Amino acid sequence: MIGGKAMIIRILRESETVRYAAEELKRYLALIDESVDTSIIYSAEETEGEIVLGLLSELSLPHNDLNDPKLDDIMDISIHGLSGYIGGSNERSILMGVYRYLKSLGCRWVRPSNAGEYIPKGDISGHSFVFRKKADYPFRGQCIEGAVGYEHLREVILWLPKVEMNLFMIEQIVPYNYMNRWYRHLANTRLSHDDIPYSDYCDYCLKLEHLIKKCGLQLHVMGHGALNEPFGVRHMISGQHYDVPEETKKAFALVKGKRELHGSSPFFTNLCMSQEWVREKVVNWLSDYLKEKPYIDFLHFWLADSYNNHCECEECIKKTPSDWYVDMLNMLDARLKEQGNDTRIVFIMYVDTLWPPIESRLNDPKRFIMTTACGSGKGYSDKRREGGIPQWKRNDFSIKGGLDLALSFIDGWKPVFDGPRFIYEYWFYTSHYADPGYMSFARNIARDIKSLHLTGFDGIMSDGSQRTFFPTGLPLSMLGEFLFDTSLDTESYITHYLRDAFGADYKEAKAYLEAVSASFDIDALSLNTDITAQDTGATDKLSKKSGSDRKYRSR
Amino acid sequence: VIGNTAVGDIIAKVPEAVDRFAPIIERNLALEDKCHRESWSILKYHGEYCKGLSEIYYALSRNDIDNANLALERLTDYLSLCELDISLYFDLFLFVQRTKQLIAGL
Repeated sequence: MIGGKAMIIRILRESETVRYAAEELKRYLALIDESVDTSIIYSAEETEGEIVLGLLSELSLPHNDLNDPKLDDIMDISIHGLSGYIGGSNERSILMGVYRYLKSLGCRWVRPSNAGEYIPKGDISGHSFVFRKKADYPFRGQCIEGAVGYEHLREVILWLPKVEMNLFMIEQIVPYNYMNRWYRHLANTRLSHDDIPYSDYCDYCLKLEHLIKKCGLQLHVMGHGALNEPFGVRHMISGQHYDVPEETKKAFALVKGKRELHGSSPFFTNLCMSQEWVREKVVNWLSDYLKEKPYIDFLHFWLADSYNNHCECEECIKKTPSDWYVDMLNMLDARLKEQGNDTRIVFIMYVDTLWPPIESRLNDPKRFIMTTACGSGKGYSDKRREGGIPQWKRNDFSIKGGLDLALSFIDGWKPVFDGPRFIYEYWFYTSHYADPGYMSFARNIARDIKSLHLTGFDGIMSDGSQRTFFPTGLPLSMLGEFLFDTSLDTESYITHYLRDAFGADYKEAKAYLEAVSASFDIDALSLNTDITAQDTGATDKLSKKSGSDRKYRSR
Repeated sequence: VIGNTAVGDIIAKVPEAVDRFAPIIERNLALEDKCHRESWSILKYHGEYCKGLSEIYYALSRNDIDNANLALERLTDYLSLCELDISLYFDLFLFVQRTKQLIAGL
């Protein structure tokens, strides 16, 4: 380039994520100001007129507030006239720092894909930006849900760090259940319902894992649906038929005198956890899985997504499901230590494991993260259930859940575990459909995030569709950016978002969307038995109430 | 919303509001900036969606389940036709599942 503004982006470490951060910075700077002529170098040697990308420690920046680099995101940026640094507490924070700097230049990613990026044009040589911030919450992200294809997931994952989200979860070993709904176009009256080969889903899953790692995001995997995989019973979709060998059934929970698939699905079926060979087989399978995928950051090891089907054999009844669960968690922890694997294990306080164990204790709590699914969409408080935790009785689960009860249960778990924990929220599962304008919905999210601190949770895993940008990406953007910085002003954020999304006529767009939201009463249009109101056996309950996927299988 | 005539009366006015806003959408569909252009393009599809929702919810507000189901079928067919244009933004599967639950009074 003749007469261009030459500048260097220097990276202090040669890793895929930091290289990607540098390439993103180079690409967007060129889009904003095409006279900027940028080159990327990997070097420890200082040069003039450079932007340096590195960890806080590599840049000799203060990081006393950094407790756990895997969790804590800190950005430290100081750039004057295309010269300075972008530091992060981890590699994803460097990438997020790049986007934060670009936002200071007026860039905005209002929704996923190239068509969602607003990039202003102009001379950037005189621009200055100084910023330091530690994320208010260490868990900010999404779990796969709904009907989603590879391209949808790819675009959303690339978008997450642009709105300061730091994690993505691929539930199940291969998320066939969710992706299959898209590729078969199950709800579509016009498109073909033919499936694609299963091997394609496996390839997509690997590509997505790679993409999550490339962005430096926390990679969360598994959850429900893998419990029976070690016994050769693979959950793929609801309503699938299984021919289970008698030998395999010996691993299933004994319920009402029978060992069989609960609700005809391994997704809903618990195990006979008192049998050592059963526990061993599960732990062997999980540890082998992590040997194959040592890059996984958080392995969610959960029991079945159902209720009232724990084992009633004479050995199992000697301990509670939570005690057996903790025993298995300890076994897995020990095995991973032998393997030298530092993957964190996420355990779930869910259905019977809401109750704390009586005897068993986690040997190394630092290995673990707690989660629970009690999102209600009705705001947060620190209120506990009057009367405390109800009495537990095997296979007699009939409590009416809610945040207040979940907090009471968490209090019960505290002597066993008082480490990091995050909540599963279902705002984007169905709640967003109750407000087609998204304006009331977005404000509710901002309101709730501002009161999340009352609960003691360390963030939110948003369990919902990845396709929630109709008509705007305002609510999901707010989820990420408000969890990063709870002090953001809601109305100012909304105005700026809509200006960047719609351009000159944004005020008209805002008035229109406000009118749409006001016309559709979000409370009147919410489901009475919304999944968000349930905190137990959600999938099982939903499928029993509505037929779930099954209604589409007759096609 | 089922049997809630007050809610239904307000929702019934949505198609009018969508039509009133249509010229503003039209004048923004050829913007130079691709992000802004796409935002308005989404609003165009979204307007038809709101009209379809208005029919469903109005029928529900009058306890007219049959017409609510028919309106859902029509809206599903419209969204099916344009799904490939809006697939990054809208999950038709969850929408249909959830709306059927709403109509069923769940």
